[in-house]
Amino acid sequence: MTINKRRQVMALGGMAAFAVGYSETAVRIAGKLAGTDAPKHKTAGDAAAPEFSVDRQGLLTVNASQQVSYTTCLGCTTMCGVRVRTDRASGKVLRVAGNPYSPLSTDPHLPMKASVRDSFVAVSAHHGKGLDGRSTACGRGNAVAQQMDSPFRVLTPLKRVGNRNSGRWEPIAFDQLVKELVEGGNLFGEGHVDGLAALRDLTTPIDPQQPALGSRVNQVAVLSSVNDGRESFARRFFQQAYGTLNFVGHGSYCGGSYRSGSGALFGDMKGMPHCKPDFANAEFVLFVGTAPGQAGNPFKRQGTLVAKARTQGKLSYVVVDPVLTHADNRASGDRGRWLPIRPGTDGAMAMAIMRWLFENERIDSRFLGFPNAALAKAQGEPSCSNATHLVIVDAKHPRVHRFLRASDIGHDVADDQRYKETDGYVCMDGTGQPVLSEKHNDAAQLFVDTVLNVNGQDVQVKSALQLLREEAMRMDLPAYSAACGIPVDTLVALAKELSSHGKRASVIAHGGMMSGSGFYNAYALMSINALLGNINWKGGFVANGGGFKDSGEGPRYNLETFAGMVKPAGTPLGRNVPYERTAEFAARKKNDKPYPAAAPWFPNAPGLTTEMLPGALGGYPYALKALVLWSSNPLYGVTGLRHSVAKDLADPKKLPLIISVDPFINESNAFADYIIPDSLMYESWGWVSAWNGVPTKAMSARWPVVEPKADKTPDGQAIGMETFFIALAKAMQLPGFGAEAISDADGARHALNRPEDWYLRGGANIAWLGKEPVADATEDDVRLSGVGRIWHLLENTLKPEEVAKVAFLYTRGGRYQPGKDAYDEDNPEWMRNPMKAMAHLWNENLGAARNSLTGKRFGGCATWIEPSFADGTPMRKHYPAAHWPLQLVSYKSALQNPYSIGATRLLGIHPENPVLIHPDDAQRFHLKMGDLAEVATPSGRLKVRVMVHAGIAPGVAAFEHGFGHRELGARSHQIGQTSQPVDKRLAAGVNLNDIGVLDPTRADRAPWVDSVSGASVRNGLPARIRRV
Amino acid sequence: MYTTVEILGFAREPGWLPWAVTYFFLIGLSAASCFLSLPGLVGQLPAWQGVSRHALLVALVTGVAGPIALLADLHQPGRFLNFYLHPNLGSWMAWGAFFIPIYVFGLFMYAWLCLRPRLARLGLQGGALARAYRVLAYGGHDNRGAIKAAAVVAGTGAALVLLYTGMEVMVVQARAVWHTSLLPVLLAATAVSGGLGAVGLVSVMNGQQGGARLLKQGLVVSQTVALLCVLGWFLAGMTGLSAASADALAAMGADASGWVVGGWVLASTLAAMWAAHVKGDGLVLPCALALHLAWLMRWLILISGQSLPKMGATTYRYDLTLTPDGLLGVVGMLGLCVAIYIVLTSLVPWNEQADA
Repeated sequence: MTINKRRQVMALGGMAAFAVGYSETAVRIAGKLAGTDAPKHKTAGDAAAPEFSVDRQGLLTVNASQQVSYTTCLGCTTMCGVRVRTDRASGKVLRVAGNPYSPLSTDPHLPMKASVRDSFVAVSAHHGKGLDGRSTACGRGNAVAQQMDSPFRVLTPLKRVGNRNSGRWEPIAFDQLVKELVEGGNLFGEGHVDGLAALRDLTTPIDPQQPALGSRVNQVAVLSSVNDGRESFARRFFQQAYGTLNFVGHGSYCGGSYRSGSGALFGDMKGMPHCKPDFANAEFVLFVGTAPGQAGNPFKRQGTLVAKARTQGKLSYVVVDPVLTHADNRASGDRGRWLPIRPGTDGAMAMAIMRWLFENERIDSRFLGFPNAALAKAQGEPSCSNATHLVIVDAKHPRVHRFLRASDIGHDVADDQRYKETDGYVCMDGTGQPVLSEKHNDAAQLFVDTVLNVNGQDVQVKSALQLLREEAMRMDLPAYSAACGIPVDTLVALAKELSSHGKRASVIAHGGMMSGSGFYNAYALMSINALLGNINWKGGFVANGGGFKDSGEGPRYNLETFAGMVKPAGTPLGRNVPYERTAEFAARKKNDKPYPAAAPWFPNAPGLTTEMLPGALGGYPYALKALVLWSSNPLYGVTGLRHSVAKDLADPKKLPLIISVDPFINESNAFADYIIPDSLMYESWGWVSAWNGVPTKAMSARWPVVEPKADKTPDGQAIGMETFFIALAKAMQLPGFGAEAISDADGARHALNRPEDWYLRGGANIAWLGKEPVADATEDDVRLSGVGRIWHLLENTLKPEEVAKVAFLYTRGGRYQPGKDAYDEDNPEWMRNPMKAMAHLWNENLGAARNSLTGKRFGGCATWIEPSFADGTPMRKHYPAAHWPLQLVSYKSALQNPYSIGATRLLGIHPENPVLIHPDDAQRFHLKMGDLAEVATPSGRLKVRVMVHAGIAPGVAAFEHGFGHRELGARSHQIGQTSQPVDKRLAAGVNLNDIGVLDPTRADRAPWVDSVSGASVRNGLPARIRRV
Repeated sequence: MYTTVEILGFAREPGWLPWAVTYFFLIGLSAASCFLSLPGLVGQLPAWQGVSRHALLVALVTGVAGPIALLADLHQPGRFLNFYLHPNLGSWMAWGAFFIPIYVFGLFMYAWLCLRPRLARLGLQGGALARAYRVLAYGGHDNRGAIKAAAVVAGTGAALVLLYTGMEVMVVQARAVWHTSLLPVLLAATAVSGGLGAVGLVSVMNGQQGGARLLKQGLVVSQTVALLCVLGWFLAGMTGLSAASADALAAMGADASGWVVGGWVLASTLAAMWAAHVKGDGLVLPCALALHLAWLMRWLILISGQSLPKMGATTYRYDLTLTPDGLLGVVGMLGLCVAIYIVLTSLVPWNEQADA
């Protein structure tokens, strides 16, 4: 043994290094030996105990300490049917997964006749069922359940202390709250405030000079967000009982331009019907400004169907978007491709595609030639279009841009029916004679450009298809290509591909349309579908199956009308009516200067949240006296709105009363005078159908699977939207609420005193709709699904024969038509629930409308216009690229929604939203990954973190939506003596809407909106960037 | 070319830590050295005597340290038991749990049988440990048959270890850069090269460079094979012959540093081969470069390979930190090797020429 000093030192040094390096492992070994890191369960670790187990024979054993219930997720607007697992002892939601009965969570979904017991087995590993019919909730759906236990929840009614938006509140007793709101008074020591009772003036006009505005009750407005299954209740209160016209949702800052464009195609600019590709059977889909599986409701179902179709089916697709999304990834291989485009130029691409289809005779001429639905159907087409209908194009003619009608060519039509629905359209038959479209039983001429004798006068008319073709031929492919940045070859390839799959190719769009040319872009894209003749075809462009109506004049109860019901009337604050019918127009016309209006009007738009606040605070067309924000956050969601109105909103003189019903304090109701807590997620009642993308009928149930957390009213009910509105209605003695408010099919009357009085009866309506009522829930169903929780409510509220049937719906989490019913019984290539509306290649309401700032007529068919401001000036005229080299867009987050920031698990994965810029731009502006930079638009600036990213079109900076919160926990509010906790994480990132652009062509400092749809412009905002 | 970009932009931590690189490195050296010990100690070839004796020393040092590093890479070392409690015959990694003990047990038996006569002599020399030497020697017979039998077990074990370590990486389809049939050959070739390098350095430290020519020849051959593997992989990727390799190249192509690293691998290997070609006894440079190549290839494949996207994502950055799961662990394992080396060489004088 020879070991000298040097070697000893070296050996000891080596061992010391080893000891340090291996310390972590050693601690783990020691921990294992000492049992300190032992998990709760050998294989399941620290996960909660399983809710049930299924043995090899398929026998189910349930865990009695947990409840598994089928209800509806509210983690986004898709509203998937989910199964919620709760701990019975604590009432805590443990986990959320899919409801196997719901097509929004499962493909294929279980038939309703499967028992709840069978449904549990169906999601287990027994015979691999759980994987075959995999029923899932998404990551966000799981994470947002955390919000229910959020320390930032509003659980008791609050009244502001000090100025609006000061962040200081005091709790107020429910009775006192109702009294103050109804009676008004000097509520804040700032002077008298009218109460809701005084504001409900159904007779006095707002302005005697302008009776069309309606009565003063319209000066109370309600902003809601999305129909979460409770909207009909809220509308019953505020519209039918209270009487205001102004009740508006979130569409105008969600995907309004797309919906309006689709509404133009289907001839209904208010209801805005829309279709989706039949993902399961499509062969080619062009997604524009929407990414399957990431954006575009229902995103989870779309993701599943698209993934299946591209692996097992024939689907390939192209996603056109300035931002690469999850739709194109390694898993999609060559079946999915991303094609970058300049923001707001989708219309140029669409018109180029149409031009190529026309030039190469690849439009579906056979389909387009049928002038009416009956003929089309008889000839094997499940839909029809107005391609052959004749339009008056003489500029001098008073009915220019309108369709030629039966009465114009000498048919007898009663005077009061002239130019109404029964005054039919005209087309040109094969011999060149004008004939009635409805009566014609042969194909009509597609391309007509001629002069007809109309009422003794020569009038030039063109067919709708002729007008569209002329519009498409206005520019050549290189010009379209230059506009959108897509090479000509690619445009041609897209057109070729779209027209190479028969009926099984389609074009779909959505949120990406929110640009300054969004409406026409969407209309152009949707028109391609009509040219392809794919509507209502299996694999083509198909309608939503819809739901089963709960709140209608149903088979059991009439929830639609009631004695003393008000029919709201007047001019909506969003000005979505023709300017030409206003007193303002008449007065100005007298002075021979009818245009411009003081602010734009949107006759072809639905109710507009975007326009409501700038209008109301500016008193145009009239001012608001009270604003109700129900789960609504326009200051966060409407691009540029905060910049436009926040200062005025803080001034009680400009808007005397702001009431909010919301489970949280958000960027908008931070300005409220009162906040009333609302139920959240799995605490709420409701009935909600799928928004779209489900070809079968689907109605999901929401019911309190856990006890609502909010404080109770004096009679022991949880405070929420329903109990609050009922209390207001009773205090003001409004019709439609309280005793005898609801009539049943036999004429008997029932009370509406509690939320369940409404929702359970809605359930009875749903249960009895269709050929025969649904089956009865068994005792086993009720026991397994946790419906026992509400059994006493069912028994106390419903008629005996209704109890088990409504329970049946709750045990299944809703009512769902079987998946096999998607296709027509007689023709399996057609959809069973079709889009009934005809495709409008020319929309006369659009074509006859004028821009209220310039008096210029809008085009009545698809076209390409540059993104423009309200008076039609191109954005780049005001903000040239030389000064504003970037264009900003926002995109749908894969994780966050606008109100999920409090779900800290999501922040754990993705803590902020760096702004994406292209590597070329990074070089141009001297930016590196991770740099802090200032992004400035003409209306504001933001400090952002930069992510350099090849997945974005050059010249574009992209903001993921859902970050940049000032509220929802980002700020700690003082409530009475206690302060909310501080959590800086919730303030992470930036919100594009904070630097939205105000329209420089408008006098009213309002945010930039699309001039037809009135929808927010958040894509294509001019901007510059510099390192800070 | 298919470029992929991360949308969420969060970092994915590598599942295989530097512990894995350390294990692959050490067990590769050990298995290769085990083979190098055979010609001299079993085959009794005179030219191989010195090389083989030092090779056995290297095989023991790295063979003891290697599995210790592997345990640490399991994150929770106790998990190794699961390989035996729930055997998975369809998994190369699970088979490794059986191959490693076969190899290590065979190696110990083989080494002990080879050392027995010398242990007996040490027991006769007296001193504080004489009794221990005598017990260890267990009679001190030089049993050639037993040595051969143990060598068969150890050699088979070594071959299986080289096979399974290559295969368990190769089979991962999700990692394009791993999924090539050339990978096991490349890992084996660099293991042999690294083993020769380690044996060479130990020889230099012991002042016995008799086998320098043999070592150098081996270095040139093994590194030529390694370079051919890399070249083959590159061509398979460029021509599209292997979709996985093409994907890997495409993913790496976005990053200029890939070319820099590739150039470095080529240059250092050519330098090593040139140094091995040069006449004379200079062993330090080619041997050090050979060790460098063995480590570098494993680091690039295992750690850098995990930085490439598996699906729809950009590269995941890895930072070597001064923590047990980073640099401290690597240094610690080096320390352990030094300590084992000193203990072994102190207990048994490996520089005696005559016996063995």
